[in-house]
Amino acid sequence: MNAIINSPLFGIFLTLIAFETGVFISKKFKYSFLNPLLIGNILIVGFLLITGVSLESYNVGGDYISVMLSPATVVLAVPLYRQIQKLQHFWKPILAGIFAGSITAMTCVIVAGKLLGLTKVLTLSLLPKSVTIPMGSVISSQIGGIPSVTIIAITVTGITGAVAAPAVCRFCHIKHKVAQGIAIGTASHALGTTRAMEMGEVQGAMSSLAIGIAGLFTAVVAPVLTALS
Amino acid sequence: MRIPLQLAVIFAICLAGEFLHRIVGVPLPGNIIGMVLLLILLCTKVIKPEQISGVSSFFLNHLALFFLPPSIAIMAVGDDVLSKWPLLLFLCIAFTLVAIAAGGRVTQFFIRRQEYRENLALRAERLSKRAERNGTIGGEK
Repeated sequence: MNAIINSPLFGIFLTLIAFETGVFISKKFKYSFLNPLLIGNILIVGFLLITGVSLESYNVGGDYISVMLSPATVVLAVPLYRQIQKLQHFWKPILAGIFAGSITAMTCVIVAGKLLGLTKVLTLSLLPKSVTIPMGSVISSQIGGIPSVTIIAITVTGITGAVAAPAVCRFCHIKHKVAQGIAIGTASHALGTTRAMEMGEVQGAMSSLAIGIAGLFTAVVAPVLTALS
Repeated sequence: MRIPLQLAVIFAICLAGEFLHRIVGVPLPGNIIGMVLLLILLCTKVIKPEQISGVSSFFLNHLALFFLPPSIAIMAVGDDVLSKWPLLLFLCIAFTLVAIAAGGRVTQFFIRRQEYRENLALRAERLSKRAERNGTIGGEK
């Protein structure tokens, strides 16, 4: 049995089945908080805890899929390239807004970490939580956080954005379509973008544009804030 | 391009990003440098989006799958983190709302200002044209 569990195919198979089950459930019930990643995570963790299969055995196969995070980030340049013409007219307000959103998200984490007495590792893990996962997990490990905590925080952040973004825009009188899209993409990355696309074409395009730029901003600013805090 | 060749191109860009990060010492994660490299290649038309569409749409359509294995490492997280999960959950939700509000308000403020200035410029242009026209009409009289 050990030979089977320690085969790379085992971890890969488990990941694929758990993910597809998550996609199936989220499509069937259509609640924004039933996110495939969240469901898949619970299924795999549950399976490993119940069967007693170790995390190391799972990672023999899981690592093959994790390696693909790098190319998955690189191809984010394609949607960014498609939106580049739309960036040209409003580039100053867009950059200002993305910068404000990213800085706000990070400052909140650092201030809360200080006030609530969170450990430094925990604060650093939460710092890149508004960034898309392939960037956020790498930024997290680079500044000394725990990538898995960051990934969960990023998922929660994204789901929050997807659920609450229209309400926040209404409450704060954010009416301009470009501003709505930029706000959502900056604060809640690709998961929030799915909701922005439902709000409209302009919002969707601007939101996907903001993902990459917010990621770059955070990658540059997070190490600086880490050094300061 | 055939899919294996597309993959080879994307992997080459990944490796170039890692090279720039680890060997040259660029202080950004390798995959983010790779993204910037691909963006430059696309903007300079060295690579056309259609040429890598097979691989790029595969990764973009199933993006969340590749985050599943790293997220399982949550199992190895210490009890000090796990015991704080209600607080962490609350912080994540609250800060997301604040960040959306901040990003949106700032963007909107600067868009409105830019639009206001553009309108002013437009109006000034119109006024000066009208003055010109009036001037020539006056001259004919």
